[in-house]
Amino acid sequence: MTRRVPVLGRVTPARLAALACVAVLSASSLAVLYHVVDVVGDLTLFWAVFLGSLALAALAQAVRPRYALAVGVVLLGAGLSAYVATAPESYARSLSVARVADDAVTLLTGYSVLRMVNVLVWALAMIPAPAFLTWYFALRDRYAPAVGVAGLALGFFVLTGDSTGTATLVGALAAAGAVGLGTLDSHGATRRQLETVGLVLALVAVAPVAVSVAPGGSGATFSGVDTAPTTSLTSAEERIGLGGALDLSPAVQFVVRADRPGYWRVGTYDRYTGNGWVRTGDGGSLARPEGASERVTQRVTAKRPLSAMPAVAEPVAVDDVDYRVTSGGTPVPENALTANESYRVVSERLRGGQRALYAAGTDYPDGIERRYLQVPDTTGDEVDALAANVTANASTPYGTARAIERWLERTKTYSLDAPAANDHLVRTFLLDTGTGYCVHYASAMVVMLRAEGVPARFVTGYTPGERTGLGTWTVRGVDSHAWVEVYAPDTGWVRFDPTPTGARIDAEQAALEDATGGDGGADDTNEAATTSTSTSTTPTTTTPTETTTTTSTTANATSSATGTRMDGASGPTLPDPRTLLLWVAVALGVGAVARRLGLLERGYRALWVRWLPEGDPEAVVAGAHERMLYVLARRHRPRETGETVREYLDAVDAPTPARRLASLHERARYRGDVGSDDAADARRALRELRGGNARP
Amino acid sequence: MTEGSTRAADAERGVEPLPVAEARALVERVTENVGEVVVGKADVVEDALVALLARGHLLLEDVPGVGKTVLARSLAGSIDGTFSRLQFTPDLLPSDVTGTNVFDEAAGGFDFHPGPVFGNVVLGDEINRAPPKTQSALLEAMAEGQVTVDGETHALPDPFFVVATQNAVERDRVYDLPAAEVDRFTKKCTLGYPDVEEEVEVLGRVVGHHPVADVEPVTDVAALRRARETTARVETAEPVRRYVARLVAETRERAALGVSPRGGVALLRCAQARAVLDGRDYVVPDDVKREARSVLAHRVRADAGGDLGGEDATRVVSRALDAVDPEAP
Repeated sequence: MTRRVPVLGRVTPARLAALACVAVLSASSLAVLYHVVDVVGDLTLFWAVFLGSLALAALAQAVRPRYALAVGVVLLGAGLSAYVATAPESYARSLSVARVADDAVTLLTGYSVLRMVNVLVWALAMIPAPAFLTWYFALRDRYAPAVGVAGLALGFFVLTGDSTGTATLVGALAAAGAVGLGTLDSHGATRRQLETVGLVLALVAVAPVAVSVAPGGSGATFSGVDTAPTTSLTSAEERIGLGGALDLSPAVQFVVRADRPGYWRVGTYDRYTGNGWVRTGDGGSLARPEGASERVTQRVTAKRPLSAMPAVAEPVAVDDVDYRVTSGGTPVPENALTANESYRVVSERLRGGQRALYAAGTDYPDGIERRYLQVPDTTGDEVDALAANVTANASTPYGTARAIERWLERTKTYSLDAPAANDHLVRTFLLDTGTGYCVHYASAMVVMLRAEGVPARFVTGYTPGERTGLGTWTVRGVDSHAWVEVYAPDTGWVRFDPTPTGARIDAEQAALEDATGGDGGADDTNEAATTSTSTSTTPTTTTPTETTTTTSTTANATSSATGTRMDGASGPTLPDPRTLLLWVAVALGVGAVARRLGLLERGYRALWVRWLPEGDPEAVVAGAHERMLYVLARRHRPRETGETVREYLDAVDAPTPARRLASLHERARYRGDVGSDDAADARRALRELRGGNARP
Repeated sequence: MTEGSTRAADAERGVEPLPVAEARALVERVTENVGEVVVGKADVVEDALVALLARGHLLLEDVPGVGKTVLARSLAGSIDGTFSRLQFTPDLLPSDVTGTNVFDEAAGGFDFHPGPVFGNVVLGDEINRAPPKTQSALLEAMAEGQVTVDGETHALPDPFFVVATQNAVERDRVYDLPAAEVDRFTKKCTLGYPDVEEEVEVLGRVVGHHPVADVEPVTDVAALRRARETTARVETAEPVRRYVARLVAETRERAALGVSPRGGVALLRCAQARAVLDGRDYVVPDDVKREARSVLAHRVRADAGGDLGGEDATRVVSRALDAVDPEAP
């Protein structure tokens, strides 16, 4: 059998384009795994596994597809076995077919892979099979199976909700391109046909913009922001995206009756993904802190539908509603609470506040270290260095936390109108913009603490709110907040709040005042709004006036926008590569259309006819002659192949300047007899011809 | 190449070329002069003069009685040179063409009596009626500008211009010229019937006294030689030469037998002559195109079994002209 087997070396434009499309598709499906490895592990691992798979694909070119497929299946099987082998014991013990099927369904219904506890091994195990098979088939010019494999991988991540709209669209475009170009290549296509493929791809890219009925169509794709433009901290989602302007609603969320106020915690998050926070694993239990604590009993009454259960840390008992407990130790209602539904929650609050961290050692349990010291690989060394620099004088975890907290309060600018989300929220905040709100401050602090080896987590919830009666606290949307919890061995989680208090309260107040003008019906108790907003427990002492003034103006600007939900994507940041790719596809398509319609050519010619470069007389005469023929071709018809210029001029009954120019050119071309006078005359003749529409 | 050698010989003789304008005037005088006898055939007269200036020979093919002979005679009469006529018949011998050595008793030796081929303008009537051997005697004279009788070489006069006619009817008992020999005619033209107006004019002129007898020479042999030198010096730029080469190559693509390199040389020379007729000292593609049909068609055999020339061959040349871009760089 003499099937042409290794075709690594063949180079045609169509093949290169098809392979490039496969590369894009492969990249968009592996991007999720890349991101995962970045978040929880070392990127060199990713590259090692990926390049290994590529090398294997190149080596396997000599092997028949059947065997290659077998290799792919073996790789996948081996990867999954490795994952199961390294899974926590509890998981391995409960492993069964039903469990695996259940997990698969969970994953495929939008359970982000980032929430898997052991996701690093899983990601590394999932790289080889699709990478190997995709490139094995692509290099053999079998684009359909290659696209099939890569598309399957991409589809998987679309279902888990990890692949964003833009990446998916780019992947789909690349899939179409790979198959189209590959087919054309195998039939030796002309450039025109390749252009058609480009045109179709551009249409596919543009169509969702024109027809925005497609869910997640236009806006999500072309704004350059994949996450929702506003951050909501008011629900107990398993993951939150960050960045963009914060929407602070003045509406009352819930009312707490308690003997003392506290930070009403909603959710805790352990895994930082660069653009958001994820709570890994599911299912936990309520547990009291290990250190000395005091009991706080609260009755929380929802004033509008609430999907979270705010409570002072750490809640230990909940009554009156069905709830479950997240892996972060916070309760979540099974069904969203309706307005005026209430529950009672008992919390054990760590006695002594931050002082609990004073005496704490650094003898962290393994589980805590594994889970709360993670930082994405690409966050970079500058952030590490910055953290080390800031905490240079600190010798204990408490010192470290205080140093970071103070440094953030002192050097960063509070603004609700933060720059758009990107893939490196903390790095951007710390090294670049220096502007953000509580989410940025808290995220940055967690990342810096982790860089210094102090386990910490990101916490969302509400500040105490407004005291509206004896032991009654009214909490509004503007009170939503994010802060930090630092782990102290044998004690528990200790709260830190790096956000400058004064600035935050100014912003909240501005939002409130603004709301009383426009939409005052929503809040029922605004008489005391401006006077008694609580500032109770924040230990901040240094709030430079400079910061305050800046933030109050920005807060004003934002507050007027809160009613209209202004998008925050206004920073001078480059669009991310996926969006750029889309634009490139669109630009290529537009180019193809323009070429089809001859617009490019015509536009160029219009300039070309008018601009005759200086040069030796011969070139000038030849150039003028060429332009003359073009002008006449546009005016009458092009010269036919077998026609001499004289015949042509006679046939179209050309005007005198054309004939003069033609004979100049004839002399120049066939006699080599041309001077600068002739060149000037040729220019003149061309000008006359262009200008004079009058026929001879 | 034989045509090249005569040209070189002329150059050695150091003939002073006429200025282009004078050469053109000469041609115009001759055309006008011939036009007084031959009605409405100015283009064929021009074709004949092109062949003359290009140092070639002309083959006229047509039905009898359309004025082939009158054209040749009035052309010869317009030049102050010798004219001779050869009527080819099946029994014509080569020596009837070239001349023979006759024993001269008084001198006690052989004396060469030149045949009719020794003339400035030679009319070979119905050349395809003579057997190949006789035809080839004339064709060799045309090619080499000299004849060899009994080992002795005799130079032909300069200019030496043959106008041969071929009868297109009465196809029996004719000896068609072989491809190699028809190639030696630079151009092949047809006269065609005159239209009614022209025929009225013709009838008016020839009744009574035939004007061909009254043709006065308007130029002399020396001027003609100088005009031929002018023609030879006409500039042929590289694009023109390339155009000719591509045309010739194109006919080879499109026909069983295409144009030989000799045909290409003939085409370029005729283009030079055409440029002189237009008063230019350089060739433009139009000159080439104008000459292509009459210079090339009779050298082409459209399909393997067919005749040389003819309708299909003309079409091959036309197609080649349509396919090759004269302005290509």
